[in-house]
Amino acid sequence: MRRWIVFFLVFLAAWAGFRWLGGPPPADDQGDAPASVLRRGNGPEPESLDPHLARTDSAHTVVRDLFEGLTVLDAAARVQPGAAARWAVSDDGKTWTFELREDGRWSDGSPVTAADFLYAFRRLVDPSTASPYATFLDSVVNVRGAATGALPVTAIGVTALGDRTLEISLDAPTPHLPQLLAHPSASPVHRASLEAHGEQYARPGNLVSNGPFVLADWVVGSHVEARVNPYFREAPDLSAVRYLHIVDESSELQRFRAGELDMTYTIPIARYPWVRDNFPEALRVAPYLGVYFYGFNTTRPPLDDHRVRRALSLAVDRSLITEKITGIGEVPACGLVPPGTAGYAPASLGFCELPMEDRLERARTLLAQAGYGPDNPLELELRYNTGEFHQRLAVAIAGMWKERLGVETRLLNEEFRVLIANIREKDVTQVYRASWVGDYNDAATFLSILAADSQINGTGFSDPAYDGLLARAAREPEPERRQRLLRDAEALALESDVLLPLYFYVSKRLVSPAVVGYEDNIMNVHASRYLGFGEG
Amino acid sequence: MLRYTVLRLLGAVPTLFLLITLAFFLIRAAPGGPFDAEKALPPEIEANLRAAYHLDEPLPQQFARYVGNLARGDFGPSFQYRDYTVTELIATGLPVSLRLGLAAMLLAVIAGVGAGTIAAMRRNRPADHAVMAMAMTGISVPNFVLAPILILVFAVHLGWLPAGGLGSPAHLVLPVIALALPQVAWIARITRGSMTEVLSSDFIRAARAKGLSDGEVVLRHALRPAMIPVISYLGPATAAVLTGSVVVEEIFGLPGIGRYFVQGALNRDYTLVMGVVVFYGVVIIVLNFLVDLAYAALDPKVRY
Repeated sequence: MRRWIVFFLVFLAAWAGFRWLGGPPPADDQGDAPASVLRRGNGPEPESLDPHLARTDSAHTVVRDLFEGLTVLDAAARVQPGAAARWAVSDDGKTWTFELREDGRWSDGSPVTAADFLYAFRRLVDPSTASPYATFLDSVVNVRGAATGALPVTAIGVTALGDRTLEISLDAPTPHLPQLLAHPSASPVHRASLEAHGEQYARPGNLVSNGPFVLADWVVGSHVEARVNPYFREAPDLSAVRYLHIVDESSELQRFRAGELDMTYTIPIARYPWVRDNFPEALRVAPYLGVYFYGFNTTRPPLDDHRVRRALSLAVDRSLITEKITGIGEVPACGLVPPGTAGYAPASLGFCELPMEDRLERARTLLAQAGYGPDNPLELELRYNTGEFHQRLAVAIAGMWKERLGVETRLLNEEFRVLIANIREKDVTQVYRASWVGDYNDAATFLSILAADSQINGTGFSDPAYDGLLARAAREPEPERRQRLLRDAEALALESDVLLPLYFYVSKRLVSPAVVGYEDNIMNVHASRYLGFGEG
Repeated sequence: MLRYTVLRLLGAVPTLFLLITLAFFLIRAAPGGPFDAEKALPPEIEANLRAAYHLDEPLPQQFARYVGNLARGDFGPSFQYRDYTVTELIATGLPVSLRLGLAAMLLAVIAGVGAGTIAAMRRNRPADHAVMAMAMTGISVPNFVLAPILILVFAVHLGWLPAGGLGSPAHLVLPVIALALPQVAWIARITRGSMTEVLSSDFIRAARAKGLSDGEVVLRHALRPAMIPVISYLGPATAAVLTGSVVVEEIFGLPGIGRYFVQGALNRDYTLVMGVVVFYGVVIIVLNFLVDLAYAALDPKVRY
């Protein structure tokens, strides 16, 4: 008898344990969803959903769905009116006036006013906010001064002329201002909830937003869920969006295969051929506004010698790399600014079109002139951040240099943050791996990385002519003249060989054929409001 | 016993303090900072950020501030996840990791002891060989190989179980198995060895001579002494489960605290790493203490 009691108690304990094991019942059971919920992989955990603190792509993706700035990017990443219905610019290009829509509403029903934008821009610039994008709109009057605390935030060139008119004053004409204002950091902010909740402001239930969706749930390490904002002027096709933060790319692929995701964030490169063969309808590969390059630290030997840099660049067969090593459809890069950048005709390295034998002959001559040869081989250090792909690429390029030029390259992999710190300090780097992805669709964001005062300029490149061209472009109101100035700057930088561009990025992900409204675009921005389910 | 408990608990405090001090200074010694990223911040913004997090103060002052806050239960804000404090992150992640870890340990002990006992009782017969072969596989295959295979078979091809995430008991089945299997293997081996030894001892022969059945012999008499080496192993086993959970949590996308260890270090999220270090330190100290208590329960010769 006792045995049965014991068995029963054990069984009870096991059953209770099993129930406890499963955790709380899910709020949304996918099984019986007549509502359409888009489940999208969204990369690593966002560091914040506060528009002013969000810094990474994952965070920006969610912020773009929750908030609407003065302008927005449509499904093809073109600039469209957002919270602002129309705008006008003065003759000198320095004063912009935005008229807000009448039907703009926060998710608590209150109207979106010019004061909301004024408050947001001031908070963005305020040093106590410590926003990584505080000086993003640096052509606006006094933004730089306010960001350092030298001036009060009320001094910035943004004024609310009434409930629905916002005036922005610039130091220099910025024809692409609408493009900048579509960035998530230029979103409006709901003052009342920020003041009520303080640091807890960006939480489900507290976060009031003016975009098509509202933050409904955030389980750190698992997912974020956004539901439709009932006060937004157009009802999106979806009823909710679930962003899954799956860090491991292979795991994300498995979950897509198991039917738990409708679209992924990326594809593991090593599995690309298999994915291409097995999911041809779901595979979406498109040019992306980013460049992968090797930087040369020109402040230290041996790369202070221009001949050495030119020789190294001549010897790398970029087409071979994009065909054999990366192999997803990346474009070999002979310049810094990706083709397809709005309104821009890129410059190019002069020698890219020459046959490889001629290039190698030239390279060997240059190296000999620099004093290197078989009895005095050039010795180099190539640093890259730890990663199988970066390693493969480094090995291939080191191999090219060795085989074709007799260069001995030491490969060093470092943890990402260590590499970043070393690049910035310029004490130990020689050749280092780097990349740049544009914040907005304009050549200036790429060229700024080589400005002499840029924090990201690990090459030590400092050319007054280059900086002069960038400064003139920043003040040039006529778009075509501006693009020509930028192109001249790019040509100047390429001529000096301070970096070795390798390839331009592509965005790659799997999108289930059941999802409609997805358009490839160069910014890789796919706001959920344009997506839905339908006959694929 | 009471005296023993109090002494152990008091002894834990200097241990923890040493752990905190070492961790605090070591992580700050690593090159790279919490705000470094490819899109480097303009210097004035970085200065703002560092000031906001008191990183511009001298190190001893930062340390004193941290310990003072810790004494009040405040682990500080996360440097990386700016909307959350470390306390909140650990509080939300802990139940998940706890469930995962406890379930895995439970499964490991029950399945391991069971398998090892069967192997010992049927020594050198097919059942024994089967169990030991399984054990060898479990020990040799790392869980970051095992987990994707489990997902591929059970989630992708058979569709019986989810491939990741949380939401129902079914979501934890594969992660628990992935985490437990290597430990099942180890515990099975240890149990088999110690059970074999116990089964050949005099008092077992006496029990058999008295006419007790095999089941009674094993369950009522042999199991307790045979468990002593298993209990010793539970310390390292729990450590393995705790560290193994990092990989398993990442592969299955479970929001536990294992990832915070690695992600926190890579992100130089000083406060988060410190929080997890303190937490794990407490766990290990408590577990060691419980293991010692378990010895006393199992072995009458051990008394404190």
